[in-house]
Amino acid sequence: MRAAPPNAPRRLGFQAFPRAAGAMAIGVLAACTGVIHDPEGAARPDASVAIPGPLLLRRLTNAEYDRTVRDLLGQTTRVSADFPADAKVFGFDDGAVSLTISPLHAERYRDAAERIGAEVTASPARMASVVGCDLTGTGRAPCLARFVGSFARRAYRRPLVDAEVQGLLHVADVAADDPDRNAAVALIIEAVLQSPSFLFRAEFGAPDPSRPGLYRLGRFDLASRLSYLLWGTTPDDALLDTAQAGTLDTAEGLAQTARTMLADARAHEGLAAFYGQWLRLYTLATVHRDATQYPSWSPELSASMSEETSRTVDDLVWRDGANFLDLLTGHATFLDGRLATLYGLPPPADGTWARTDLSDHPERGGLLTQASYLTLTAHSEGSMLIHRGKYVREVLLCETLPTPPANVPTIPAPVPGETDVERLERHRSDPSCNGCHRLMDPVGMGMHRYDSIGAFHLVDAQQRAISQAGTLYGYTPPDFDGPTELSRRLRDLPEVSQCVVRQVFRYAFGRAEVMTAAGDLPQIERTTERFRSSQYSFREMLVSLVASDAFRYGRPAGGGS
Amino acid sequence: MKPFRLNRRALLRGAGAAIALPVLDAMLDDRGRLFGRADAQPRPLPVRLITFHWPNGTVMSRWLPTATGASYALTPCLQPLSGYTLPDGTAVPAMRGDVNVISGLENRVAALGVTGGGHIRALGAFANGMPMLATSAGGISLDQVAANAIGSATRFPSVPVAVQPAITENWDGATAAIFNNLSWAGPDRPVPADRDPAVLFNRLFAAQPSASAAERVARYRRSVIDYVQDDWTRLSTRIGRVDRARLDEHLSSIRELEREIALAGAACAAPSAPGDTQALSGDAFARLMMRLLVTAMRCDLTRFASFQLYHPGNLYPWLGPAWTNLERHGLSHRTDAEAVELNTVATQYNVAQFAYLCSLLKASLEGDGTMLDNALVYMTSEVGEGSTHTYDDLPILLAGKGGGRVVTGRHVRYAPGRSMSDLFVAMLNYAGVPTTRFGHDGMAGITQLEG
Repeated sequence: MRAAPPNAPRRLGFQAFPRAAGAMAIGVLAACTGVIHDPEGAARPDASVAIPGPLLLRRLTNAEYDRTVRDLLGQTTRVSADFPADAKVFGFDDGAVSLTISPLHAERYRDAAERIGAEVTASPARMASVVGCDLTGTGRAPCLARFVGSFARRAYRRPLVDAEVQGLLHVADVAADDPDRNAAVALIIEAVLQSPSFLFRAEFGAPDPSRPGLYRLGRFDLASRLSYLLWGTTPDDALLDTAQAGTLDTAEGLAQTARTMLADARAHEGLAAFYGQWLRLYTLATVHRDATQYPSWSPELSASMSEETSRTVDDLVWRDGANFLDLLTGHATFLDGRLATLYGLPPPADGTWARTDLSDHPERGGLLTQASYLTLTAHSEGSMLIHRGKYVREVLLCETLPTPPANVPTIPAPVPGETDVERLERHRSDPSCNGCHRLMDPVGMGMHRYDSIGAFHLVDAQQRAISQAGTLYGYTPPDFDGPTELSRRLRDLPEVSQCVVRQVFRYAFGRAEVMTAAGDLPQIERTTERFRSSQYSFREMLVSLVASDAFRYGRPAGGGS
Repeated sequence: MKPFRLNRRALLRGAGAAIALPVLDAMLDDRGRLFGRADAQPRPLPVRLITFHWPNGTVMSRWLPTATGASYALTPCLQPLSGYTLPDGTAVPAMRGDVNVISGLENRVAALGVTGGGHIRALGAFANGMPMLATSAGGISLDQVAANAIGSATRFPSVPVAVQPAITENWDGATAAIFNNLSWAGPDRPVPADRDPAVLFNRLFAAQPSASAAERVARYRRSVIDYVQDDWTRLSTRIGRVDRARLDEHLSSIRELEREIALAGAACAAPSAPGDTQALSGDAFARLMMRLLVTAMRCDLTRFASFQLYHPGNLYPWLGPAWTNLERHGLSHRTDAEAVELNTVATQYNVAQFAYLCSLLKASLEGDGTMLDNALVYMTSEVGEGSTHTYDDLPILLAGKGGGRVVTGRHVRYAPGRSMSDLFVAMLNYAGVPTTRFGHDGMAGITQLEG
C-alpha cells in the first residue's frame, strides 16, 4: 500500500453515517495509508460558517443518573448498578445513538424509583431536606404542591406547565388514604423518576428568524447542556434561576455562567467524568495481572495508577496558567508510595500523594510514561506494543483506525527466542497486515522499555538491551527515540491540540464530530484556535465552546416537527 | 434412561441456598393441559425457544461427525452429550438422544456487515440473520419475533440471560452493544440480558406482597404509568421524528410494565433467593443462571429466552491452572497442536453447559413427556472454525422436539447453500409463529428435522 506523502494534509475524515444522519456520524478510514479527502467539504469551500449539529434527545447515562438522583434526593448508593450497561461509542458513554431504552430499562427505572422513593420517605433527615414541610393536617395540600413545584422543576430541569403539576398532584391523591402519610411523596418521586422528561434530556429550541433553518436552544436546554458538560449532573436551583432570568440567552452570559460553574466543586467531578473516559482510565479497574509474574500488582496499585493521571490532569485543568499540553511533556507528577516504588523513585515523605519533580528521571515525565497508560494498553503481553500505538493514534491524534477485516490471520504465536518486536515484524511482513499495523506497532515500540505494569527496564529477561526506537508514520520526521521525544513531537502537532477539542466535542454533544466544512470542522477549528491563543488553557477552551454557535444552536433532528 | 428429577438440593447446589421448586405439573391437568388460568381451555403445551451462544467458534475437524443420521459417532467436541459428572458429583445424563447436530448451514450475511472484524460481523447476525449495522445488530432476533407474536401469554415476553459482565468498550471494531446482546427487537433496539443471579431472581420471583398490599402496589403503579404516559404524550408532540421513535420505545416499555401488572399473581410460588454468588466459579455461576431460567419456564413466566455463554475475550480459569491467564480469543486463533487440544477442551466445556441446560429442561416433566420435548434450544457460535472465522458451516446443536414434531438424536447435514435463517423459519413455525421468511436470506423452512 502507498504511504502518504509526508507533506500531504493529514486530516482524517469522518464519514457521515447515513442511516442515523443527524443522530450520529461515525466513520473509519477506508484504508490505513490514505488521506481521506472530504468531497462535501471540497464542494463547500466556505469554511467560515459554523453549522451547528442536530438537536438531540439523550437519555441520561447510568453515571449521570446516579449523580442526578444524588443531587436531587440525596441518594448515595449507586442505583444504576442493576441497569443495563451503556455501550461507549467513539470513546464516551453519552453518545445519543447508544442510549437505547428497552423493557428491561423500564423495569429497572421503576425498581430504582420505588427504592429511592421508599428510602427518602423512610428517612426523617432526607424528608426534611427534600420536602421540608408538614404533611399532616391542613398543611398537607400546600406542602405537597410546594414539593411538586420545587422537586419536579429540578428533576425536569425546567419549570413545569400546569398540566404537569396537576398530573403529579393527581398521582399523590391516589395515596391519600395510605396509612403512611409520606406515601404520596414516594409516589411523586416514582412518577417523576420514570418520566421521559426526567430520563431524557430533550432539546427543543425555537426557530431563529435571523438564522434560517436553525433552532436556538431554549434557556433551560442550555442550562442542562452546561450542567451535564461541566458538572456531569443536573442543574441546581441557582442555575435554573440564572436561566429563568435570561442570563443564558447571550453568548456573554453563557461564558460568564460557565466560569462561575467551573469555580464550583462539582466541576472537578464533572470534568473527571470526561477525561476518565477520554484517557480510558476507567478500564484500569478491570485490569488483572498474574501475581507470580508481577508480585507488586494489586488492585490498589491499579487505583494509584489511575489516581496519578487524574491528579496530573486536574492540576493542568485547575491550576491557573497551566498549559494543558504539559499532559504530554510535564516534568512533574503525583506519586504515592506504591507508584514511587514501581518507578524506582524515593517515596513521598509521608507515604501519601505528593507532587514529585522528575527532572532527574528522564525515563518519566508525561502521560506516555505514566503507569496508567502503559498498563491499560497492555491487554496481553504480546499485544501491548500494538495497543500502545493504537492509543496514541486514537486517543491523542483522533485518528480512527479501521478494524481488522474479516478472516484476517491473527498475531502469530511467539517462536522461542523471538522478541516481541521481532514477532510483530514477522506479522507485518504480511502486506495485508502491514497496511494497518505499521501505524500502530512502530509507535508502541517506542515505549518498549516499560513492561505491562509500567515498570522501566533497560534489558529484557535474557539481558538483551531493549530498544526504544519508534516510528510515527505519516508525520515528519517519522522516527523518534523513546516516549520523551515522541511526546515532545506530539505536543507540537496541531492534530494533538485539535484532538483534545474533538474529544471534548464528542462528549459535549453526544455524537461523533463531522470533520467537514459543512459539518463541525469550522467550529472545531475556532475552538482549537481559542485553545491555542489561551496558551492551552483547558477551561478557556471549554468556555469558548459553550459560548459558541455550536452550543447555542441546533438543527431540528429527524425531519423536524 | 431415567430422567433425573430436579430437586431442591440440585437446583442451588453450590450456591449455598436452596430454591423451593415450583412444579409446573401443578399447573397442568392430567392430560398435560394448563389450568388455573382465566382462559382455561385444554390446549397443547407451549413450545419454548432458547438461543444459546458460545464465543470463538471451535475446531471443526474435532466437531463435525463424519456420518449423518442416527448412527453418527460423537466427535471429541461432542463427547459431553454422552453424559458427564459435575464437580460436585451431580450426574448430567446423556443428552445425545434429545439433540440434533446440524451442519452445513451458513451465516452468509456476516460478510455483509458494515464494520468490525470477523467475530462482530457474525455475532451481529446471530439469531437475527440480518447484516449488522455500525451501532447495532441489523434486525429482530427470532426469540423476539416469537415474543412479539405470542409472548404476551406470559408475564415476561422473553428473558435474555448472559453470564459475563457487560462490556462497555468497543470490541473487534464495533460497539459493545452487539457483544452484549443476542436478543434484538430491531435495529438499535437491544433487549438487554440479565447478568446477576440475585437481580434476575428478584425480577422473576420477587416475594408477592399480601393480597391487599398487592392491590395497592398495582393501583399505585398504574397511577404512575398513567402519569408517565401523559408526560410522554406532551413531550412527543414537541420533538422530531427520529427522536419520537426513541421515545416510542420508552412508551412501549412502559406499556410492557402495565401488562406485567395485569399478569402479576399468575406466577407460581416463589423459590428462595440465591445466596452469595460472588464465590461461585464461572461454570457454577452459569449453571445457576440456567436453573433460574428453567425455573422461570417451569413457572410459565416466559417461553422465550436467549443465553449468552461469555464474551470472546473472557477467560475460562475454572478449567485448570493452564487456563488462568489464557485469553480465549487469542487461543482460538492458534492452530498448533497444543492449541487444538485446548480449543477442543473449551468447546467440550461449552457443549457440557448446553447439555446441562437441556438436562434441566428434560428433568422438568410436563404432560406425557418433558419440557425439552416442548422446547427448541438452538446453540452455536458466531463462527465455525475459530482460527479463520468461517461462516459457511456453523457448528449447530438443536435440542428438543419442538412440541413433538422434531425427530432428535441425529446428525443432519445440509448441502452448501442453505442459510441458518432457513432453520429459524422452521423453528418459529414449530413454536407456533407462522413464518415463511426470516432475516436477509431465510427463504424457506427446513423440513428434514421431522425425519
